[in-house]
Amino acid sequence: MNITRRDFVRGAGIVGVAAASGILHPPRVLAAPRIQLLAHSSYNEDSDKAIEKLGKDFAAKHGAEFSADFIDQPEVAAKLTAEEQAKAGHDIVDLQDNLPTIHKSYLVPLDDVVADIVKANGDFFQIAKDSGYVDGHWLSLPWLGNAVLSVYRADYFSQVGEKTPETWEALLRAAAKLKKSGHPVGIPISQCEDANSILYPLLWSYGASVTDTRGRLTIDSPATHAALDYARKLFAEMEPTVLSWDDSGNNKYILSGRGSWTINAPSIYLKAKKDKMPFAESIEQRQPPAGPKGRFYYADIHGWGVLNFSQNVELAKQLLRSMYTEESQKVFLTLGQGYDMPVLQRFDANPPYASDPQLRPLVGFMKNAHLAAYPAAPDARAEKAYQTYVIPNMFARAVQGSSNKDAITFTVKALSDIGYSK
Amino acid sequence: MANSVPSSMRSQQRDAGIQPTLWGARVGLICRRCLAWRAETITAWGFLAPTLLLLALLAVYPLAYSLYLSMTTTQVGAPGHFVGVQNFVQLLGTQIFALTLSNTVWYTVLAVVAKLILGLILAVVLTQHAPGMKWIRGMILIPWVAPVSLSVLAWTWMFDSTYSVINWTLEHLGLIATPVAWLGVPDLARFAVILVNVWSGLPFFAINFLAGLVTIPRELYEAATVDGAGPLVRFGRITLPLLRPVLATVLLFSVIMTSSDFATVFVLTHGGPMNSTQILATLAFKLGLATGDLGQAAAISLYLFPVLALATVVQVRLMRRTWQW
Amino acid sequence: MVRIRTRQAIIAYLTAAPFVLFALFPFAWMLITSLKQNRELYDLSQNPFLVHGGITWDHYRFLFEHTAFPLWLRNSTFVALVTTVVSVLFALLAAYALARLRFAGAESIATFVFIVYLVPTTLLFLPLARLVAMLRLSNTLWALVVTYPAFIVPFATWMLMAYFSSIPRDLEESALVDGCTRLRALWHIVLPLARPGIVTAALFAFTLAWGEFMYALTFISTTNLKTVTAGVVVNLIRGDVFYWGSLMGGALLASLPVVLVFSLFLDSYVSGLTAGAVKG
Repeated sequence: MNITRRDFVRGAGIVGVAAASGILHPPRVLAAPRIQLLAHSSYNEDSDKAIEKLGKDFAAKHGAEFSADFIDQPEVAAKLTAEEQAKAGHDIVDLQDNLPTIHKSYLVPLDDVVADIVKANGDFFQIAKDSGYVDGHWLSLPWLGNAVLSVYRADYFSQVGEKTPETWEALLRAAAKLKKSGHPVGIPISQCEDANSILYPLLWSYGASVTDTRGRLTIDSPATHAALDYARKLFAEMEPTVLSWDDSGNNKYILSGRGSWTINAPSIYLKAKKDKMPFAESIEQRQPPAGPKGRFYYADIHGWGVLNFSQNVELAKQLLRSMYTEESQKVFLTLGQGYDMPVLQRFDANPPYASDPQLRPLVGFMKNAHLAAYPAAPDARAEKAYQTYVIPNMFARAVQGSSNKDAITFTVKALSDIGYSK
Repeated sequence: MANSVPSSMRSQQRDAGIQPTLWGARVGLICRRCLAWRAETITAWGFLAPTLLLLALLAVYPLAYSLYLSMTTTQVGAPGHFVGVQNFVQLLGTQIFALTLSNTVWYTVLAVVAKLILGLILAVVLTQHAPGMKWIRGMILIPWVAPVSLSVLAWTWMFDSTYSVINWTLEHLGLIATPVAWLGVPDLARFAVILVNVWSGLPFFAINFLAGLVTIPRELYEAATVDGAGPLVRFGRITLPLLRPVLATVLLFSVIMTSSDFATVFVLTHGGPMNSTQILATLAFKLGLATGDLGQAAAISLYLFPVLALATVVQVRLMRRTWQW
Repeated sequence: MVRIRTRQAIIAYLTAAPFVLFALFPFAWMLITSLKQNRELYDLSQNPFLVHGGITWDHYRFLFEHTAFPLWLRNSTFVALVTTVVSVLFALLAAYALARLRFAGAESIATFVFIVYLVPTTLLFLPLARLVAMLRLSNTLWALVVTYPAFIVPFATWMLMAYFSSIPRDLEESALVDGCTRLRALWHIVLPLARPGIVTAALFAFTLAWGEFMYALTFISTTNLKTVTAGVVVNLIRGDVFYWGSLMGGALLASLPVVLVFSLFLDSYVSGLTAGAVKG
């Protein structure tokens, strides 16, 4: 036993040294400028690889080096904060939604880059402007958007004699029948991003919103009451497990064959197709339902920001300019398969994924999409409300027995704690 | 071996006929002791230097910085100004923080007590003799040894409302009729989070208690049995008191680790449902890091610091007394 | 006699069984899940404990061919080994000083050593990130090697202090009278006797370093340099799509090395803890 252990230790030592020599290298004196990019890891790994390729091609032409790191979306903000404290790190960072506003003092204005791109390609969508244009300057170059659609099993619907629901009311009617048939609808009413992306538009479509255009609280309104009443009725036709879902909850619900309808990014549809699931042919997608006050959409916007402690600001800006050619957009949108959507109006006219009838509803989506802070401009308070799931929790309270008044009072307090006021 | 050297030295001196005078002997003794004591102190500080330096850089500096942050309104990119304890006071008035603080205390207390009781029981079970017991001891260690961030992922799927293997088992055993939304009902979610924490922390308690139990001389138990003491009395009068130092240290570590636990809640429930499993570490992350409010993140994270610091001081004093430093 | 032994053994197994089940059940389930085909994974009608549609090695293949999993394992091993050596070294000296030497301020230092655990990890990485950047170690494994000892050394020191207290003082006293320096006394006399304690401390250090998640996630962004804990979580979760089969396989394989190391040194480990718990 002793000999075995000693041998092991010796062996481990040798392995360790061998491994170390592979990892350790003396610090190189960098001659060429180096651009480092930080982004969230895409739904499709090929999209990440495409960004890397673009960067490397650019770097080769300019005698520079390029490297890209892709991490999980929730970690991007944390990592960015750490790098700002250290005043060292990446040069270009992927900024989602409210982040350009929050990190504005570390971002280089990109007005010239945007002007060039707009001159060549036409304007960005309003939602992209909402995210990237802060205090009179473009602080992030909008790059792509992520949308959510109704995704459902057409066969289950036809079994109960229902067509695809165009309005929330129609959905409610179908939901009752679908529940009886054993395949209920499901939307998450829990602390996850999906819940945010579904429930904010639900509020908007009833004419309710968290604030007015100037950021003053308007959540306590008859419109909110109406939305909560609706949610209660819908919840009665859903399974209570929706209260426990995380972002993959509704995916699993549909993919297991149990669920009949939900709102989600195209990831459910695309995965069913990729894994050749038996019911993949029956999955359809449409625009999210409309409420009494119209159809509203939520989308996440990702843009590139250049950090002001970067050593290669000008080079980084040039790289950004080069990412907006027609060819590179085509590559990205094809690889994104509809999960990633264009933010320039021109490229939304006929994107590659429009040939798929289930992805065509995505065309024109961005025109009417809004960020969480709608109708006000993005700010840190909206981000806090989003991150602490104030709106999903309001709905969760209401559907589990709280009166509208109580749920709203609770929510008003939570929002006031964040810094909102009437 | 230990005692032979001094006596041989003494006999050497005697043989040499050296008769130190009383006075000289006393001075010599004091000087020698003094020098020895000073040499000991210098050696001690020398030995401690690397560790102290390391901790000064990697613990004191961050702690000081965090304390400073918690007393300002620093946002990412906006330096903010000094506000003393305002952050702490203001936090207590917010809905979400009051709940978070209460959650953290309950989570810590319940998880630690569960680990304590189950750990003792498991330790007693492991003291039994049977072939292959060594392997059983190894096997129950695995949850503690495996990286928590990865095993919690497995638990996420196991509690998943659609696919829960726990639900499946219970349904097939006829114990439940419809699937339980483990992570959707506040009390069940709290139970789930505590269960996972106990699952991964129990081996630590058990192994340490086992080590303590093994050193209690069997004669004590035998004598007590002869005197007519039943198993419970033996446990209460012999086992527990003798285990006290181990109990104390393990408890201290566990309270500190459990109260600052991040991965379990973050991965399993994200603080939900309705913030019923939100604890200080996860709230600090969401409210502070994700939104750039550094002052608030610091204040939230450091809220229990005074209590834990006091507990540490008391604990160390207890440990020192028992180990007779 | 034999019958009593058998009965004892049966009682031992029966009482241990629920705990072993509780401990290992998730891992068994992880193994089964990692061998199931995707289609079966998502099929509600299937028994989660059995693999119906045939075992597939696709998930493991994906892990090894499409992700940098082997590199992550290498990185974790490097970081854990180096950190263990450094931490145990520091802890040895510190524990010896605190447990064996008499000097003013011993108790305060002992308390101070534990204070580091009171700094919340969620906050800790902000000033540490600054430190790491200043040392130009950002995005390298050295960043972890430098920062891990902060939370490992106190733990290891505590374990070794407990162990050292159980070794009789006379052993060094006689060597010192002979003219030995403290360092040599430590090296030649105390250390050989303390080997189980050192093994125990080293195992704990290795475990803590191997399983650490937060710093590994935030200090290192390049995929090939990630440790296994961060790599598995980040690369196998894309948006709302979880690559469950590979995740479970990765989680299992990532736990194996530590379990293996522990099983090799189990005897020393338990005796190390045992002697350390003697006092009282």
